[in-house]
Amino acid sequence: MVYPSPAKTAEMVGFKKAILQIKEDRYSHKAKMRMPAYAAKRLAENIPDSALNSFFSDSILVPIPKSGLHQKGAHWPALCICQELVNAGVAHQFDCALERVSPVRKSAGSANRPSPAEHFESLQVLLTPNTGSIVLVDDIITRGSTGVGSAWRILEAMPSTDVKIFAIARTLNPDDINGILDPVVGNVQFYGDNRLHREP
Amino acid sequence: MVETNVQQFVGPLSPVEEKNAPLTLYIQGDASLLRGGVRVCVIGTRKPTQVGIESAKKYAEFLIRNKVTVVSGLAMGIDTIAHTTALACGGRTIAVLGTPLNQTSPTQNRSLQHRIGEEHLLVSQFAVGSRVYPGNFPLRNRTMALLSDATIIIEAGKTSGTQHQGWEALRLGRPLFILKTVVDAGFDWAVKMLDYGAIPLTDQEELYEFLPIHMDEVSGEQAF
Repeated sequence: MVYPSPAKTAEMVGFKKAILQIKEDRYSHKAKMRMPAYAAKRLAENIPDSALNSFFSDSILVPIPKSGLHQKGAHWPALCICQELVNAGVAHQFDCALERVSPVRKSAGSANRPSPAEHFESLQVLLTPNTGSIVLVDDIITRGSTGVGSAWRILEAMPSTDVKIFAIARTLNPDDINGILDPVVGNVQFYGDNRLHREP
Repeated sequence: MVETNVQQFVGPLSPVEEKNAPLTLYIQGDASLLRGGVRVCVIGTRKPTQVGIESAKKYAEFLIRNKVTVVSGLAMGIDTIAHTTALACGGRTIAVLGTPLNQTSPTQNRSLQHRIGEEHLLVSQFAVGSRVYPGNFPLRNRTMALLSDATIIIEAGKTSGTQHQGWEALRLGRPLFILKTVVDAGFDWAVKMLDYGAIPLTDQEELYEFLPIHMDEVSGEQAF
């Protein structure tokens, strides 16, 4: 799915609202279920014909921690998405293998976004799932910095593991948006310091 | 007055939402304000500075311009400014009370409460006739967080009651914005909330990144 940043039209406001409903585990009266469950159900239905065919096969899901510290019992968007992906049969298992031990700053706008190194330093591995393939799960991918930092931390503990990143939505320039559903498989390239390029 | 519950408006609750949700809601006014659109809570100290007053007006005006319903707690200070600004701008507002619907706290806001109940929406989780305890107000703050899509703390002191709502918004995973002026004051609670995911806010335009709103929004069918 796509997350318009910023939303320029009423239709895009609707897209953004849908993604936020997934992120915040809100109930949708239109879908008649909670939005993470609906998104996972739709994904399960569409995987065979999409670019994501074989993306999840035999992998264990690992939710990416929020940028802030986690209060016990608080909502964790990526964990909620993992649970629903397993419930929908998209994946077989998830493990909470990563923990945020120090917060990374959250700020509006694109300036001063945390680097992959900052994410790496703020995370620790709690357990090493017995698998050769891990899919890190997040709600929204912007540049890919969080995912790259998380992947580094997993690879440090499990060097021979294949690590991929899945996000329910990716931010997109409003001018490049044709519809809310737009599944893609791509790459996040790291060029050193805090320079990243996500394609597409 | 109508006796209802949160689920009537937002649908079945998640376990996280359910934890601090009131069993019953008593409402008076336009219930549609709880069904659709975007609701943002504007809260803060009962004794605002001039900067706080101006900020509350600025953010409430911005929200109303973007067709957002302004939610607040009818307390003196920032809450009152949020409600009255929404009314003055021709927008919509919801007052979530720490008293039953037939009582007012503070009493100075009786006519404001009456107007909101007639033209907008009053919400309380406390039955008519029940006694008002100091503990009602933190419970009211948690309910405000649940009924709102986001919360903005405009100005607050070292021991402000707005903290109850801030922590509840973070627990629910809803955006919590704290004005940069509050963050810069260095209160321990504000610094701690930033560690747990609160967002410092320096400009109203930054809200566009986090909320499903846009200045040019026109009425239209939304995806969900």
